[in-house]
Amino acid sequence: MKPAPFAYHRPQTLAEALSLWSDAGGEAVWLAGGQSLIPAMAMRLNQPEALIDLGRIDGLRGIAIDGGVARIGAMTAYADMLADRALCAGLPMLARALTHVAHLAIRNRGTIGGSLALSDPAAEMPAVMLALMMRRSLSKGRRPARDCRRGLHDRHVRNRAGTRRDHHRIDIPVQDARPWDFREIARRQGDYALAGLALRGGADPRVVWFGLSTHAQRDGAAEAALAAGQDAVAAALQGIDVMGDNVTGPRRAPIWRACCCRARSRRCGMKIELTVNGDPVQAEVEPRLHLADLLRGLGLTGTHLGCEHGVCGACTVVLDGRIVRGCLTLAVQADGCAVETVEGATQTGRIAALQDAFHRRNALQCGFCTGGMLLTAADYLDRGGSADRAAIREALSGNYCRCTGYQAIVDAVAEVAAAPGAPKV
Amino acid sequence: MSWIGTPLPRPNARRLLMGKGRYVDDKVLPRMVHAAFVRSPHAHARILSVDCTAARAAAGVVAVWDGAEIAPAVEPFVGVLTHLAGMQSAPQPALAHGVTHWQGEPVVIVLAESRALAEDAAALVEVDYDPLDPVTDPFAALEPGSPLIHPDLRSNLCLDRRIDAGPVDDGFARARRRW
Repeated sequence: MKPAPFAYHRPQTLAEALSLWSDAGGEAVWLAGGQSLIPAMAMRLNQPEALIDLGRIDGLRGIAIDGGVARIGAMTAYADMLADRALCAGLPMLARALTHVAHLAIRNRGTIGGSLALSDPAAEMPAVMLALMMRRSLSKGRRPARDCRRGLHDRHVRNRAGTRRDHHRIDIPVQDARPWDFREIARRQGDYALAGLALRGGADPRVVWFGLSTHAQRDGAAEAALAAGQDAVAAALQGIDVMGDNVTGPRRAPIWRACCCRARSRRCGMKIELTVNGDPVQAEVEPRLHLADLLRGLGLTGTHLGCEHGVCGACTVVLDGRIVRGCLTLAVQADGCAVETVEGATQTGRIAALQDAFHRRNALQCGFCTGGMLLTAADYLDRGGSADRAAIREALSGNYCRCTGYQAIVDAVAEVAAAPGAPKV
Repeated sequence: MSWIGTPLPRPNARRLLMGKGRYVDDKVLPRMVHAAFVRSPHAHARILSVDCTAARAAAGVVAVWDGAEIAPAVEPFVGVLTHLAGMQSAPQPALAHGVTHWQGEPVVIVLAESRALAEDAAALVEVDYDPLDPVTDPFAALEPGSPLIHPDLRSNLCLDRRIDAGPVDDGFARARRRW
């Protein structure tokens, strides 16, 4: 599915971004990681007039821990948060929740600020932030987070009213020894949560549900039970009444549909320059063109379009050294970047061992998923992935295969991981 | 030498491993156009009107057809197997004509120079539906009094077929070997 046309702006400074925002008079939408926004636009559930891309503004990324507070830049990608050992040690609930956020290719692009601003009903981050008592750093001072009642609809209503929130940074008190738990139910690891719970005990306990209503919601009754010393998880589950007033509402509230508006035609071409498989490429593209479509238009059809909303993995490519979804990245976002496709990885011989193992072990039938599988597996091995089958399955959990049943694929990756001389980080 | 247990790598698989497969979406033919569909959001509804005026005028659009326009060119197909006595199935047109019978049934086809342009134009098609009672459970569909989805058929039942080869235990008793 292709998005409706829109204009695209890429400011270099925050001041420029805010100025563009004001000029747009409420018709522009921020583009952070885009991993929720772009698929919504592909399905035409959201049709903004313009996107303001925050991706190139300095100073919005980074993780620092000082004085018992973790300070995370709003544009920090999930993958960077998970890779930060100090952050994960200090905030283990956050680390656990992050492993439930989609798959690596999406975590490489999605940002914490974007997730909090969007406040998707099934998102993990708003619930975790409520449980950890995050503070947002605003341009006008700090405010503790209360209930994330700003569903997507509210955010757009507020945007139209002209107020704006500059969330440069998210500050979270680093956890002490208070007990915590995080649970999520989803059909597949990484899928949208059907229901989830973020829980922190000790003084001022927090019990936060997500996926069950239009926004993450604190459960006052369960928190009181926790404060009274009852068993943590049992207390939370006791307070739950799925059919009652407290936690109710449709599982997937159609609030995105409430924001649909008709976009005027925005078919202006933007000039971009990037490197594809080592070769310089210049192109003039509509902002709405997906990176995958740019590559396929160059004749590199090894990148396949399966679902066009980021869940199947057939469009996986490497962008500046990280695996990403070609259908969740706009071509204009790849301006100035280096892209590698399965064809390029073949030419350099980078994935030769995997290709050979896949071939001998018949780890493909129709071949449609294979490019994505190879690039994802190569990324896993480059990051020191072992031959442990559960770890391999987890790493490949974002890539669907309709033909093989996965066994032979896991066999092939395990063989390469275990081979003597296999690269170990 | 026995082939059983001998690995047989596919010579053609090498190409697929290199990203050099040729799938339908990879093919570019001269004068090729791309289709997008307007689909029924209702499981059962009458189509009161279809307005494709704006869609036809949209950029890059080659043609827009609804069920009435495509009917002279494409015959409906009937999905029955003639050796199965009593099987009944309603004719299925290329595009719904007059009534839609399932959620997602295509109602209008838009042909344009690219899929993005076809989807842009599809968003401009306006269809007026009169929703009818759907039947969404196979057991409920067989209850007397449940809405008859295809009025030209006798019932909602496609086929009733029973195969009775006798009790299982007798079959095991007669078998030459049992594990």
